[in-house]
Amino acid sequence: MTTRTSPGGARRVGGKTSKKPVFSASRALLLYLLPLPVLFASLYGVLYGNVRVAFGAAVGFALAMVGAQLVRHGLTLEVESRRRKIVRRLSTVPYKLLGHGVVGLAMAIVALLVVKHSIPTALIVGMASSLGSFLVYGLDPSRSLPDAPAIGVTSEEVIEILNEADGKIAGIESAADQIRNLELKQRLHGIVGGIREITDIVEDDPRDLRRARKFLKVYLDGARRVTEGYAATHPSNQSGELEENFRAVLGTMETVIAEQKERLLENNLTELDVQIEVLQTQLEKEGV
Amino acid sequence: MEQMSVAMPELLKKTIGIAVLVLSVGGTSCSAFMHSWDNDQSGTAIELSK
Repeated sequence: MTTRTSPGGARRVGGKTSKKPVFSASRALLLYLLPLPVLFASLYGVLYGNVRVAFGAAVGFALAMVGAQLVRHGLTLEVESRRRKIVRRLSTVPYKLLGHGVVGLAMAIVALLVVKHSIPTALIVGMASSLGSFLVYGLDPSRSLPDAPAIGVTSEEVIEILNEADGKIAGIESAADQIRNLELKQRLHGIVGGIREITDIVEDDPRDLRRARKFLKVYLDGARRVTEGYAATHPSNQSGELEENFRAVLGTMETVIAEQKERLLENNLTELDVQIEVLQTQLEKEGV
Repeated sequence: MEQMSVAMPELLKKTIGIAVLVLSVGGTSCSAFMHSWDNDQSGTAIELSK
């Protein structure tokens, strides 16, 4: 798998969404399930007035849950960062690492206070728990991934806008499914395809966000509202005027999408043209 | 084939990890539960003997 860094710095992985298998967030289930007997131990401690067991088990269980939650959050961030072509500059908090540590601490406390192991044994139990958690769930991905300061946006911002756009596209799609008129439905699906092409262009080269930002933020929002509004009133209101107006809006949407795509592709061609020119000048100057 | 050779160490790591996790976290948890139960039983036994 090749890793490219765009001139802006936002990192793209192999031109495609990374297919590296990762443990999904639900897999942190082991960390939630395995400490469950500690909860019962704590309940026994409370029931029979054994303060040491009740306290040790309660603290151990609570810490184990905190550790599991931290690892789960780390996994969620990892899965999310691999979903897109652009790699998110990950959180500065090493959630998984913290989670492994907290799980180890929890088990050490349980081993010391409830099982009454010696301090060295409790430490070994704690370290083994952390090691197991680390081997299964791994460490947080590198935090040294580059940002995109040169293009005025961070990779987080690009991902945020693309995620928002995905939500709006889904809204338009589900509204289109509610519309009975086949022609309008097909046109809306075509529009959705066009919007997806635009988001793909932006995802491929985040520098295009400068030109597509207004489209993705403002225009798409309006398109979703109009489509949802029409879909909501459509079953009850069959007036020809409304349908004609909506048809006109769809026409505008199609034009704007086509223009936006053209603009983005033209921009890429212009940039390529500039790059060729720069290279040519460089070669002429250096006499290669 | 190449993919398999890349996936094997990862799989081995996860398998060892699960074993270590189950033994350490699961083992300690069950042990804690048994201890709390044992303590309770012994406490009851003492109460009864009195």
